[in-house]
Amino acid sequence: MASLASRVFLPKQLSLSARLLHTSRAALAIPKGPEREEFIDQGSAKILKSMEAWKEQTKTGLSSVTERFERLHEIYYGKDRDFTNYPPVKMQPHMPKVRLGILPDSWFQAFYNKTGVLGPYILALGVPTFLISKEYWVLDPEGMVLLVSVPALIAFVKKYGQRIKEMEAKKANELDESVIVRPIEAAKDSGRDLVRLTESQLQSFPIVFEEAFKAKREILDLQLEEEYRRRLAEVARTVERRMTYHVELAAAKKSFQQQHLVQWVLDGVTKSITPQQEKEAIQQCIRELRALAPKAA
Amino acid sequence: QTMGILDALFKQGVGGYHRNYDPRVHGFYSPDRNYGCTDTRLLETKVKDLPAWLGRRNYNPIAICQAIGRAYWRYNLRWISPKNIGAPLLAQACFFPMFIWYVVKYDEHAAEAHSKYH
Repeated sequence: MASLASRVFLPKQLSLSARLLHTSRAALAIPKGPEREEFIDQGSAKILKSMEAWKEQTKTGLSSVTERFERLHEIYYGKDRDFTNYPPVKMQPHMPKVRLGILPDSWFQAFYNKTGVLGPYILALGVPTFLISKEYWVLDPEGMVLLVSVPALIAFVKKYGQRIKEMEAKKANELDESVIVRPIEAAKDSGRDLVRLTESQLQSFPIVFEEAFKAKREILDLQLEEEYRRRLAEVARTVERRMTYHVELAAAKKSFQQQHLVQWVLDGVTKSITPQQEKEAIQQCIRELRALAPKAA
Repeated sequence: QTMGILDALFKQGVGGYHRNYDPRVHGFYSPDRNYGCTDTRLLETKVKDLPAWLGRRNYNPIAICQAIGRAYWRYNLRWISPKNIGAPLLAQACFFPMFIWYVVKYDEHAAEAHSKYH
C-alpha cells in the first residue's frame, strides 16, 4: 500500500508532454532555499565534466586521422619519390576516346606525325585487301560474317552508344549516392534533429523552466522601467519649456518698458532746451576754456 | 626442413608485391605496371636494338603469367573500372574474340579457299 501511495497517478486527459513534465519534476526534486545554489553548481559541474571527457575523445580520434595522413604523406610524397617514371595515377571517370566506336583514339594519334589524319583509315582499307587477295582472309561463310559484322557493330555503337552511356552513368550515380551521399545527408539530418530535440527537452527541464521564467519576468520589468523613465524625462522637458517661455515673456516686457521710458525722458529733455539756455551754456564753456588755457601752456 | 609449395612460390617472387616495389619511390601500387623492369618500352626501342632487347627479357613462365595479369589490369583500369563506360566495350568484347577465333581456326578456313596460288 505504501508503494501505491507513493505512485504518481496522472489523468489520461493530459498530453504526453505534460505527463513527461510532471514525471520529470517529481523525479528531479530540486531543493528550494539555501541548498538550491549548491545543487545547481553540482549539476553543472557534472555536465561540464562529461563535456570535457567527450572533447578528449573526439580529440584523440581526430589526432589519429592527422597522424595517419602525415605518416602516409611522408611515405608517398617524400624525397625519394620518382615522379618522372612513376607519376601519381588517378582513376579516370570516363573511358578513353574512341574512333568509329571501337578503336581507341591513341592508335590514331600514334600515326599522326608520320602519315597524317588518313593514315590509319588507309591502313584499315589496305590490310583487308591484302589479306583477301592472299586468301588469308578466306571469304567463306565465316569470313563473310566477319566482313559484315564489323560495320554492323560500328552502326550499333553509333546508334545506341549514347543511350547505353546514359544508363550506365545513371547506375553509377545511383551507387555513388546510395553509398556516399545519402548516408552523409542522413547523418546531418539526424544531427539537426538531435539538436532540436535536445533544445526542446532543455526547455522542459524544471530548473531551466523556472530560471527562464524568472529571466523573462526580469526582462519585462526592465522594459517597464525604461518606459517609466522615458515618460518622466518627457514631462520634465515640457514643464521646463513652458517655464522658460513665461520667464522670457516677462523679461521681454520689462526690457521694452525700460527702453520706452528712457527714450521718452531723453526726448522731453531735448525738447525743453530753449535757444537762450543754449547760448548761455556755450558762453560759459568759452569762459572756462580761456581760464584753463594759461595753465595748460 | 621441408618447404611448402607456397613458400617455394614465394621464393620465386609469386605472392605479394614485387621485390623491387617501394612505396617511397614508386608511390601508390598499380597492378598494370612492371616494377621490376627498368628497360625501354617496346614501342620506343629502335629496330636495330630489338634482338638485344629480346635477349634481355625474362622468359620465366611465372613472369609470362605476371605479364598476362598486368595486361588484364591495364585493360580493366582503362575500359571497365571507370565510372562512366559505354558501348565501345561491348563492341570490343564482340570483335576481338571473333578475330582471335578465326586466326586459331585458320586451317579449316584455308580448306575453303577459292584458289590455290595467289
